[in-house]
Amino acid sequence: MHRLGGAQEGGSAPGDRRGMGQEFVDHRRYVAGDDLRYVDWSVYGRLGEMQVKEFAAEESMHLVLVIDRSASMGVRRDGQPSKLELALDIGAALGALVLWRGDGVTLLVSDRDRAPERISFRGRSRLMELIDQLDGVEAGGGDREMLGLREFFRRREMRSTRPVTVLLSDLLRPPADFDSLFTLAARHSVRTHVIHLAAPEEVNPPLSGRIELVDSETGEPLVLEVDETVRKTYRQRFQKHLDAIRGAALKRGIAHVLLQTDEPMEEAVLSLLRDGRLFR
Amino acid sequence: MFCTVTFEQPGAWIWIVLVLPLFVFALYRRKTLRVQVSSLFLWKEESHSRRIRLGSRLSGWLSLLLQILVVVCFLAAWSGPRWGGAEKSGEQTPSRLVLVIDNSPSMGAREDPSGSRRLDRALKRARDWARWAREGRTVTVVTTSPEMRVRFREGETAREVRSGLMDITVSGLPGEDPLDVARWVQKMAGRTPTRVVVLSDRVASPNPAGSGLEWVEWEQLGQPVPNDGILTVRSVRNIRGPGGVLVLDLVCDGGRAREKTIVVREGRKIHYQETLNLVPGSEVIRHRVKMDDLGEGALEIVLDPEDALSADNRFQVKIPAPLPIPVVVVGGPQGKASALDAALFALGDRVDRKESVRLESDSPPSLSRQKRCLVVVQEGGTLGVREKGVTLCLDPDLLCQRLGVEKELVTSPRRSVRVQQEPLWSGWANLHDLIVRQHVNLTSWPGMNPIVSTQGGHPLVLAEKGPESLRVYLAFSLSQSNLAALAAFPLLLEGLLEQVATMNPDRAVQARSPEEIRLDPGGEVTTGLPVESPSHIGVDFEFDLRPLCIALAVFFLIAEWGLDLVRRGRRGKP
Repeated sequence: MHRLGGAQEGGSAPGDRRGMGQEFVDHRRYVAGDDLRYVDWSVYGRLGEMQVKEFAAEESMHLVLVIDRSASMGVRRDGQPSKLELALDIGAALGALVLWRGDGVTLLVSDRDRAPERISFRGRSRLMELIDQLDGVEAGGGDREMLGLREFFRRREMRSTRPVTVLLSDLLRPPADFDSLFTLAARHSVRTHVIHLAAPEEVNPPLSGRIELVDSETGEPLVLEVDETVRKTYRQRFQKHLDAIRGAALKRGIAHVLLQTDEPMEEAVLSLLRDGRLFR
Repeated sequence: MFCTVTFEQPGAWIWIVLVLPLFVFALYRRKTLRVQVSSLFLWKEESHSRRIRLGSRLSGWLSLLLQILVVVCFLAAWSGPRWGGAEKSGEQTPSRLVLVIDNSPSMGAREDPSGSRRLDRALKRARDWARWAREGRTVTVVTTSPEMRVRFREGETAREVRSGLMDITVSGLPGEDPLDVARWVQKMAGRTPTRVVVLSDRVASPNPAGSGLEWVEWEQLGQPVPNDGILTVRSVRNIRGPGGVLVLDLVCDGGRAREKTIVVREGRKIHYQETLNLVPGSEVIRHRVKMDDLGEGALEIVLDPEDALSADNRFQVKIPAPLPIPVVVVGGPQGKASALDAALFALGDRVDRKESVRLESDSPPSLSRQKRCLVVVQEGGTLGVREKGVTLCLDPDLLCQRLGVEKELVTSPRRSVRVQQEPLWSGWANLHDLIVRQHVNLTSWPGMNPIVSTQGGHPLVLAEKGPESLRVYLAFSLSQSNLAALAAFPLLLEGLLEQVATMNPDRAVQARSPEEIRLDPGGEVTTGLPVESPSHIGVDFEFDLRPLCIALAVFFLIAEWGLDLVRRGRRGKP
């Protein structure tokens, strides 16, 4: 187990900064002192102007996985995987990719009685440890991950590592809570990605008639006479909630992705990677 | 519809058909599916979650309570609950007391050695009852005088009641039957707890169960008048034609001395009223009544209307003045048209032909028509009419024997005539058991010999000499508009028989009436058995609570639905 180090390390992941990597990013006007090896002569031939090719700086990637293990993530229905299972699968897949590249992964997990603890992994040899650690995660942790994430953003050593934080949660809390979290992440220049997990019945509840709803976290009952009007109101409220979170995330430059548990996990991960919503 | 459930009324179990679907509906309607959701965050307003939670729980319990009440009320309605009843009547505290004071002429009789009249005793009792008027209870005084039909006074204090009693005097007319007034009071009182006290000198009628008079207290003032000293009219003459002087020959026969009241009236207009202190005897008392404005209408001479001879105390005689009666019909066997016509002709000039009963030959009249007719032809038994509580009986055998004729006048058109065996006469017939066989118009009665005629010379008893025997027909008049004249029928019969006896002094003629009087073998006429006044006076109100239970059940059902609608409306904005 390693603590996240404070020194910047080279890696295989392209960063936002321009550097000596292999991935072409853009052209810029040549200025005196630039290396002539990076002058794009074909452009000079067409335009008669010297342009220098810029490449993304290849830097060491550090993935911070924050998995919401509250009780709401463990609700399972109709044989579909729970949101926590999907979050763990996605976290394992992303962690495997990062570790396979030799980069580091930090898992932010909490115990039932203790504050969140950061567990770091680096290198391919630690892949099985990461998977074993993820297998041990169970639902019922409450909001401790969110508290740990706030503390994580405030830590100075994490600012220097510029980690990529991935939050996997159902986000069933008031948008104001996440707005403050996103603001904190933006203030500390932490690249954050939010994978919003939702069950299909949360997006479009198939309920009808006299229903007693029981909160999975608090056990609170709520008796409702669910009809089309109620369902329509719920859908509108869910969409409003989703728009609020998405708007707060985009406002702070945070990527937000909605995934439903009835979608295949492989396709979901590949979709995240393919369209660059998660990693560039 | 709201009958009590008994084994004799299995139809009342139909209520269970209403309860069972409701019960099943209540069971299956409220089935709630329990679903675990990730969070109730999006299902309710966070700011109102606590209030909604509390309201939801309370409304749930309230809904359950209302449903239970609905079922309980329907079950209670099905069981047919009742409140009150005879056993609780004594515990009721009626808020109204109605004193029915009989101020008919008989109440002016002085039987008390002190000289006080019966009405004075009744008023004294009424003043005692007036003390009952206190603490919000009212006392109403109702009299039976015919001038006002009933006199109604109501006071909330004893002084007001006593002051109202001072105006009550003895009426000159028979008035309403206190029993009828009591029934009227009962009807007007409705469900208001009312105590009725009747102050009268009449014998209280038996109160059979279900008659509605069990709650009437009857205070009898004075002893029942024995059936002696019967005042009868021997003859009535109008010596000056219409208007002038009526000469009444009266006979007070047998019994004890007592006061007799004579009232001559035309409709409700009283021409003459006099109270005579007669001494029983067989001598004829000639009484002259001066009539100043005697018109063309029917005059009635009311003789002592309180005489116990009449069951309803309306003892009156209609003199053969111009009669607006509708019809006079004499029944008899078919083929006796001449005799019937003769009888009809007896009063033909006084009969309104337009109101006569038109009957085809051999066609029995309707019941209503029968009431308009009087038929006194019957086979082998007593001739009689029974109507309005009065039964007239005449022994044809005895009559024929006295008249020296053969008994051929009695012919029953129907075999269903009810004959009741009595010690002296063979029976009596009900008017409704007799039918009219024929009605024809005739201007003369050839071959008929009038035996008894009215004052105007019209025959009432006709004799027809047949090939082998002598047949006798009786013709009587009855007014459809005044059925009370039926009460005069026995007196008329008696007068007729008196005429016959006068014509045949060596033969006795006898008649008896009415039904309330039993004729013992010894010939002594007594009144019926004394009737005990109800010892337990209270208000016998019994309410059927089934409509109330049903109303409550419907109310709770509507309330529960309303509550459900409110909850639905709240859930429309989760």
